Amino acid sequence: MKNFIIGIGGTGAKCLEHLLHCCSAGLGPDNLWAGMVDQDEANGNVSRTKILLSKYMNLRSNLRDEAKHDLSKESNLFKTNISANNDSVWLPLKGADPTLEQVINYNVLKPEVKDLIDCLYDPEEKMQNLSEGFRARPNIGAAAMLATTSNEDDPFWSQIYKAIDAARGGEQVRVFIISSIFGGTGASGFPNIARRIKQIQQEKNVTSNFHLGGALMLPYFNYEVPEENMDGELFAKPEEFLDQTKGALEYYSKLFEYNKIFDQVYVTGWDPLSKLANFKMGGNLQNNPPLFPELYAALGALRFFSSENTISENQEIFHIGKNDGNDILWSDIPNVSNSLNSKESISKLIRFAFSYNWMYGPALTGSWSRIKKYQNENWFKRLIFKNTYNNDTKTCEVGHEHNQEIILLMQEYCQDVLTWITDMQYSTVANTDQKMDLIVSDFFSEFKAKNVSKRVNIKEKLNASEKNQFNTLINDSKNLKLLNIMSNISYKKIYRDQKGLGVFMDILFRSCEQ
Amino acid sequence: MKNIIQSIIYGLVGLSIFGWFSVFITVLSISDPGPDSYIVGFFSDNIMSSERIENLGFDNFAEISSSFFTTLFFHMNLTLIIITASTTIGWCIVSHFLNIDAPGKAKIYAIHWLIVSAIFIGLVFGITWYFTSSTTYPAAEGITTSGQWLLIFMSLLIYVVPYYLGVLLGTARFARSSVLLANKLPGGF
Repeated sequence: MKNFIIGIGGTGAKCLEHLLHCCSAGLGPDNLWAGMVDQDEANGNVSRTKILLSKYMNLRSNLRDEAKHDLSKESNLFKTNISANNDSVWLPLKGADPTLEQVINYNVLKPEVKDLIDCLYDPEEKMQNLSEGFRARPNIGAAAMLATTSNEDDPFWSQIYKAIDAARGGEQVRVFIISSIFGGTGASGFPNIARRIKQIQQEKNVTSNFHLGGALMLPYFNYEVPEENMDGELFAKPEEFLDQTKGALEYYSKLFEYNKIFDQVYVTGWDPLSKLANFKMGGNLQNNPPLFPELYAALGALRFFSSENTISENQEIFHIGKNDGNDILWSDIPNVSNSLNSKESISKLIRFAFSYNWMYGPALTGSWSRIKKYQNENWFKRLIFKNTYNNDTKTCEVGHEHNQEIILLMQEYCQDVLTWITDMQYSTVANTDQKMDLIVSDFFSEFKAKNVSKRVNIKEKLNASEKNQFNTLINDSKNLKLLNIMSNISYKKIYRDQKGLGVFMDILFRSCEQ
Repeated sequence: MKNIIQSIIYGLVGLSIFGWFSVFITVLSISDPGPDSYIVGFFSDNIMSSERIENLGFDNFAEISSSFFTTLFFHMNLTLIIITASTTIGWCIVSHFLNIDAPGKAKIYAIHWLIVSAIFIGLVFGITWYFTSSTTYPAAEGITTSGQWLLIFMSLLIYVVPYYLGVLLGTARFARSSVLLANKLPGGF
């Protein structure tokens, strides 16, 4: 089965961020192609996901290399083989600082068409620089999307063509699109890209094996727009989100009534809305935090890709929400399938990130002269020494550059996981009556809502009493201590096909469950 | 729990490598080795004083060997076997609960192991001393001072070596740096 996911706009990119962490935890399908669509290429949310995606692919390819380091086929860590184009972001409008006028060649249009355009767009909308996205104007986005080419030569669309060809060849293909229903890029891209995909499917006469799913994010956050210096600027206004959503839902209701575009649609919203501390119109400063509802969209996508998900002939629309109370708990996170428990996998990944970042990562970092003090310890001997020993040179190569690269990259990734979950926990409920109780993070991190570039500061070192709080890290009844992790890594079974650093990484990951 | 049971089994294997000998002499002593046996001859020549035995009203050690082996020697060895086995298995179990929560921390617990081992050696010494100088057992009065030290030395040899082998093999894998040379064992063992 081939799976494709497309995150449209800033929200789509953020949902992909959640999805990538879920795939690291083993909740994803075997393979997945990931792409993003955003006119605002420098957008902070998109860049963050782009970096995370490349980190994931880099780590996975290093740790799933049958010749050097292999986590094993049985391992759930970085289970999903995610691929992407060289540039994972597709810009609908290429070229420097395009405006809508340039995109539709306004100046050469017939006068009557010009009049029509004048009725649909304000002068400032026509002249708006679109390099930072569509600024919550789906009418601009829709025109821009329709004006773009979507042929087989385009690297992004070629993947869709390949997917549909694969379906025609008898392979099961699932494509999933995530975006917000409000805003600009997402709201305009979601229906247009979906319809274009459907159109290609019809053109290629593919009637079976191809399934299209989508996740629509209803308004789930807002922010305060500063009053100064905003005259004449086009930007996403939170007070318009609900009206935009209403209009969009009416549109989708009609679209779904007459035309079966999607096989499954997941609709997620949030009440009360999360309140973001900072407003930025676009660009690299728009670095919004990961929020809990986006995790629902990501899990919806993973459910869609799950082999246990049987797709019926009828169009299915799923709604999801948390419990009625103000507390957000682990029990509010749905499972991907009967065999994939989201809570267990995500909590295992968080424990892995903590123990790697502060316990094992630092012990394995540096040259052999620094690392060798652990050479007689069972975990080191069994999981590291034996698997990084070079029989030709008669040396343990854990301190060599190529191994150190993987060790440091994994540490960086672990910090991303801890930052992601901490940021989500604080930012989702900040300035609301809600309370999120998934993890306890104050002992290893500091949260500053106003510091957009670095809201979460992960402590470089932890003292003994902070490390002792590991058993309270996840709010569950497991009471797993660092001692238990140390014990588990010494006893967990090594799979036959595991090699190199893959042995240690997988055993540590498996050791993070009771 | 599975790992603890595995540790106990390894501990028992370590104990039994040389520990079988202490069981053997204990069984031998309760079944009364007989006046003509090698062990009675050995005790008569190296442990007991013929003068003191005569003072007790007997001609030689063979006449009281039955009472010596079935009471004093049996009770002493049984006590030592129980102490050795429980200390070894106790350490094997406790080693799983030592707070070794970071790489490099196991070494710290070498101090704990040394204290446990010192207490154990002290117990073996004390128990042997107690039985060989006790007035509860009349035969003890026939033991010479050098014989008493020889018995203490033999007890230490017979019980400390199995204890060490027991903890060597039975200590939790992650706690092996706390036991002398245990971290030299292969990683997968």
